[in-house]
Amino acid sequence: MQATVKPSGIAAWLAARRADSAFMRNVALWRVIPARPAQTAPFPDWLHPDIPAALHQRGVASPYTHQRAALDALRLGNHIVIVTPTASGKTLCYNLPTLDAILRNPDARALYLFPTKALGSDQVASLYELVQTLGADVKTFTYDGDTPASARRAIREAGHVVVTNPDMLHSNILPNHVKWVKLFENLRYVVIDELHAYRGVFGSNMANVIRRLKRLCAFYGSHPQFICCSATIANPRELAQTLLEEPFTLISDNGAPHGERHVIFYNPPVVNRQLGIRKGAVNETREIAKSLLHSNVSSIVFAKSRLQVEVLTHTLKQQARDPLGNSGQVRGYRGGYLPSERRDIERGLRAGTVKTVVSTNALELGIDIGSIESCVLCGYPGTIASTWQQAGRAGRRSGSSVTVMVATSSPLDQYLMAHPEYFFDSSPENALAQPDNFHVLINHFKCAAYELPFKADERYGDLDDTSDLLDTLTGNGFLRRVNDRFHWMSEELPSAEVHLRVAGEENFVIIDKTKPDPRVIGEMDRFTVPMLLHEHAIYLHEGRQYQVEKLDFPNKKAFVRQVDVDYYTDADMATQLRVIDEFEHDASPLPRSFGEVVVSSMVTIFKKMKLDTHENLGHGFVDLPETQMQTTACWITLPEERCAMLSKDRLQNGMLGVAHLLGSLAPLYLMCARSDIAVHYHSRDPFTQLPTIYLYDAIPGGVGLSDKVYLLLGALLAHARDVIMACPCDSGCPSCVGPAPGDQDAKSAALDVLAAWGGAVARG
Amino acid sequence: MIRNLKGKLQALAQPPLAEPAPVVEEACFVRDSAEPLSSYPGLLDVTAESVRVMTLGDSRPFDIDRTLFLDTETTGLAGSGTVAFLISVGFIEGGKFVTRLLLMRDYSQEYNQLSLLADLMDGMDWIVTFNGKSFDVPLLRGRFIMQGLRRRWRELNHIDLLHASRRVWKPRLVSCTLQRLESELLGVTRVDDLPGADVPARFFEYLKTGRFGLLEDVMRHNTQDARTLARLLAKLSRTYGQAEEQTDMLDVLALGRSLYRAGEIERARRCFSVASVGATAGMARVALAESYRRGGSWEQARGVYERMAEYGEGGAFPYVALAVLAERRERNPGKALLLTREAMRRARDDELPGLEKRRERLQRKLDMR
Repeated sequence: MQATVKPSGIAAWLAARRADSAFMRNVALWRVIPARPAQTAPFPDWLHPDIPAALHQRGVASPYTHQRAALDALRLGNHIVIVTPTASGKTLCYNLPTLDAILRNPDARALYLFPTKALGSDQVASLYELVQTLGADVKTFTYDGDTPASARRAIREAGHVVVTNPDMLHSNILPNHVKWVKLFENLRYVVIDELHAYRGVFGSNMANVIRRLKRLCAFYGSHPQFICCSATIANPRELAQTLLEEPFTLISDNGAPHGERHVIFYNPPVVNRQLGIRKGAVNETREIAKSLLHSNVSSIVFAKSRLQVEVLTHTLKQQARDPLGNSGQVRGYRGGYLPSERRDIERGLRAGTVKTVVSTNALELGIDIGSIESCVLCGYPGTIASTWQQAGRAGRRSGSSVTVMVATSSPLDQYLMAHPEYFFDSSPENALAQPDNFHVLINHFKCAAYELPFKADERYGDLDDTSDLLDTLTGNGFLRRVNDRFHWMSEELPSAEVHLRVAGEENFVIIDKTKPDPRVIGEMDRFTVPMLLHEHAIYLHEGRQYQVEKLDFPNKKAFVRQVDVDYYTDADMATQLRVIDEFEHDASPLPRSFGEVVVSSMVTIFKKMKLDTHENLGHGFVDLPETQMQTTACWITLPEERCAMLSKDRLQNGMLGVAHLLGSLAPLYLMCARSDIAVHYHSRDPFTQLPTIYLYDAIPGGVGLSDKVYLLLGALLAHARDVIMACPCDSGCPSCVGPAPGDQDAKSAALDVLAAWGGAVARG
Repeated sequence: MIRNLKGKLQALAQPPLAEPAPVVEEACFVRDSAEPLSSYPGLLDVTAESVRVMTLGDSRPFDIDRTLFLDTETTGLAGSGTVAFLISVGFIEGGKFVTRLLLMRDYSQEYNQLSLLADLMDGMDWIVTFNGKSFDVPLLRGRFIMQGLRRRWRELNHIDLLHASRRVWKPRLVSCTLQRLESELLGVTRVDDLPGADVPARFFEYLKTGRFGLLEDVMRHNTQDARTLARLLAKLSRTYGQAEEQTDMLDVLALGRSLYRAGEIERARRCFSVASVGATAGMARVALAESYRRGGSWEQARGVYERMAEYGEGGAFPYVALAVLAERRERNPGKALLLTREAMRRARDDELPGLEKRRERLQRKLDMR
């Protein structure tokens, strides 16, 4: 059968929405960002002449202004960080200077670092094509866990451009630097793409890996220039300077063209005003995705959780089934899929055989999936930065594109629907990393000592004086001081004990036992496993249902069997928090503290929820070990005399409501993702002996969010009070303090609790 | 900056086991011992020819007087933070076999230790090690870089006895550690030997206490390793020279395979023929037939397969091989089909599906005629 390619109906789709009053009633904002032509500049005259010639052949007449600016800044010897949206040709910003350096000096080397393997392989492919056109002898190799041992030696000796990831640099290249002499001696450029990915604990680790890299470069006498690329965040230059501890030149003036872009904020209609309940975002998202599919508009749908991805994929596939029952036009895509499966989906997108992709933020990073016309966000992604990044998936150099953000009932989403100007006027979020996180630093300091003996007066990162560290490690038998040098004195390979990402390393595999030949269908990080792969859980994969029959926790395996049931499962995580150190305390006007805490989480119970109505069908128990995390927190206590005035129930409800709201609103002030900050409360806390609300960094070791909460608490509490007062619901709803339990008035209870801090709140 | 760094570090601090030993001077410790060459039977008879075979084809000139036997003791597994604190080298000098220990008594002596090694390497063409291709040599190359002695490092021609020994004795001995080769082949039994895995801890203990006596075991162990290298080289050379005369047929067969890989086809075939008795007969005949087949000597190959079939060796294999020859060389699918049926009668269960496909294909080929 000859497939007829229907013309895209994006113009028709947009017109139909405009004419649909039922749809338009729910539109909180419809903004049109006009198309913009390309801004170009000539190639700099110092560039090796073969490069412009090769680019001409590939259809690039002249570079965009930001590409030219990048070249100029590098020429001056600066380190640069480039901030440009998806598909703006940032790759050339680092490939051009790298190729120029190698064409001039065949000994020159470059190191490309990508946070994930998939990204690395895409970039190698594009560099390789350019090298082919140039006809130059430039060897580009990927060096990662999959590189065969037989090829490694050649890569170490002869690879001009070595493409790898920070984990491999940390665990393999740096500890074996003597095998990489050619690279270290001739290192001209270090490229760090997707810089914004290095936030939180991954960023703290990355900063220390870079400290070690720079230390070795100094030993071998090379002084590489750093080229970083970041998606739009508030502080790209600051992040680059934090991670690399060098001054950076920011290149942010994007010269790439883009087509007309529509941004629509869609707020599902209220179905019960008293309870503040709106139509579900998932169902509304599905309807919008369905209409796009029917208009033959390619789309990417972003859901917030794997579960949502699977539920949406499942229902959309049913919509899209052709007479033969094929539904390959709709595909799910998320982190747990196997690489081969993901590559297949990416190819389908580029070829147009896949029309709708439902994804978690796995696609947020810059994997090349071609041009997609529309993007539907099921709920606010949590940050302005990732919203723009997800929206950037839909967007082409010419022709229109549309992004529809469907709001959930959460306070943050509702705040944006009420104040869309916030989204367009505020800067995107800061990406934070803390290179001097004590545990991270000491681990990498050991790695550094292994790699090269420390000198007595040597600096490390921004530590001018390392003598305390060196003396402690000497006392513990890791180092031996001889004259003015500290030598590694242990059989232990310190890098083997250090993982750069909390979750990445210890993935569980998911094994399907439905057929006689068991088959691995996916993998999952260990922190998510208790929630989604506990025994009896319904695990959804590519829209198919599987039940977990056995979870072998020690061996990191989950055995599943395909089932067909009308429910899904939802696990409850029980969290406990314990203070281990109080750094700062302030008694008035707000009784608050800042310090270190241990958070333990355990999944003990799960609910069975009906697929279509989401009603609770029953529950089951989970028997799994708890996970622990040490982090930083800010906490606020309710004064004793105030508690006496509230009944136990009222206090409990009020605390619950305030905690819920603080957790939702804090990201607005901290410029962080919703998942980076967590809340916890005790109506009588074992440490403070008072009712206490905690806000903590949901990132091991902490990255400085709670420090900021400590300073901003007054404003945060005032904002919480304003939201409660402005909310039209009667006694509490998901958009303010959360649904009221029983017949309690959660709103007034929360206001009572807030009133306890009196004037301090108003001063926010 | 780190909040309360001193306090946090104090929480990690452990009471020291003992006061660290004082640092000694910059010159490393050197100890020579010499033995008469009569203790190394056959060492002077090692020829370029036998070296060529045991290295699978390295035919550069060989001179035993310009050959360095080398073994190291290290502070851990390979990596830039691992140090070869003890290097034992063996060489012929003044009609004796000299073993020289280069021991760094502290990290400050590594420069001197490596310089002395470089002096020795300057007069040498070949280096003989046990697993040195993967371990000792890359490690030392790295140490030279770390100590700023890169210019003094020389890449010598390399005989790695681990690989050479495995090719010859692995089928019989299964494990080919240096100690096992020593006791099985050279009749050496070590008394009170220090297990290699304990060596790093022993060195660190010495550094902490300064008790030099702790290293005596390590030095004895390492010296013994260097001497064994020389005896093992001589033994390998002799064994290759008398390949067919070895008493164990597993050795003869392994030598044959090794000779074959080194391009000594005729000598390899003699080994295969000799080993075509008893338990090794099947494997030896397969190797022999393969050597003919790859050399294009179809008739000889067929002869061997037929003999295997006659003696009932190798199960289905000779029938399959004959079927292939019948189909491809003799262009006789009818005969090939008969042979395939014979093969199927002797096949293991896991061989049957493949044979069934072959049978069907041959049947179709016949039907088309």
